[in-house]
Amino acid sequence: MLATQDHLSLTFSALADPTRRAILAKLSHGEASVTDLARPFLRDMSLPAVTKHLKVLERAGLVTKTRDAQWRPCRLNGAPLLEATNWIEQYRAFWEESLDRLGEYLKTVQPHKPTEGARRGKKK
Amino acid sequence: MAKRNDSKDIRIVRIYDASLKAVWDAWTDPDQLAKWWGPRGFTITTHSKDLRPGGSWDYTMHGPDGTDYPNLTKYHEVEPLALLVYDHGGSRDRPPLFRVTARFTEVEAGKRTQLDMTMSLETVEAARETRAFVKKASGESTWDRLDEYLAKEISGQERFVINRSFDAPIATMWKLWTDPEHFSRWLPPTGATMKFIEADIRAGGKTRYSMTTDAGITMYGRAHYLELSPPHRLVYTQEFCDE
Repeated sequence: MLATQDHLSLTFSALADPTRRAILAKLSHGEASVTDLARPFLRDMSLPAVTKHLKVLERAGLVTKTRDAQWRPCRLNGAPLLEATNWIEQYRAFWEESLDRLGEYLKTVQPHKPTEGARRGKKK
Repeated sequence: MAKRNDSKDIRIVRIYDASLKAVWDAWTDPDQLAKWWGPRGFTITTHSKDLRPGGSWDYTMHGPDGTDYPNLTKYHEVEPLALLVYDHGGSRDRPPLFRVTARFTEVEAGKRTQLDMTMSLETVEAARETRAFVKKASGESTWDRLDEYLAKEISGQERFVINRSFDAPIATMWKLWTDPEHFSRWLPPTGATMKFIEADIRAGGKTRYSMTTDAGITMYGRAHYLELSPPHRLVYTQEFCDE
């Protein structure tokens, strides 16, 4: 579970940037070289900046560089994305657990709980 | 709050972002019911449904662990697009648990609909037990599922909805959500530590934080605060980000 979560957080942090999502969108049409990928962004950022984004995508396993071809094109790797489609369930579980903890934490910050007291009083 | 807990009734009021007809249909069409009825993880099979006073709905609930629960709902009052009164929780060999009165009203034409449900029990004690049972069985998640189902049907949105009630003053709740010191105590998973790098919690403000799991993995996130209307409403977006 932890390994999955960590993997997922890498995927999500990689997806959290519009430039990186645009790169992925482009790669969804097929392999492309770094130069090709960078071209649409060069008006707003430097080539090293685009390369940095690509590195983040590579680290998250979303993009792989093909070894065989001389120009080493980039390729989209869909597996982590598939995992990310289960995100709703993961986040729901996260929030359900957080709200359980909120309920517990509340007990520590409000020593005098009027409603609880009233209910106990009623039972006697 | 205390008064409500000493009542023979359990009341649930929810507002859905959907037309009155959409909410009514979701409640009454067996094909639609199959997509959301029951606590999370449950599915249902309808055997027959006769929606009219004196009619009944015969269905089986399938639990996440594979257990089947036969159910027979008896309708007492049916006013299309307005009211349903029925006995819930019974089966052929089991008496009903409670009487449900569900009122459907339009809040905003074609857009927002209120569901006001009262489950009436025989005694205060029975109501208390049922409340505990419903909580344990995540029974309220049924109404979250309806919300999610409607969102998906109407706007194609995938979203999740969680409703919770806490025995605490609303001002305390607000503080626990908006004071970084408190927020970081309950939000992160057990064993994880949350640290705010930046915390500017106001409309238009943002926060940045790190969460370190007990396995030593640190991830970073940021939140943008869109609306703060103390103590009722807080709207923000949240995302993972690079360090």
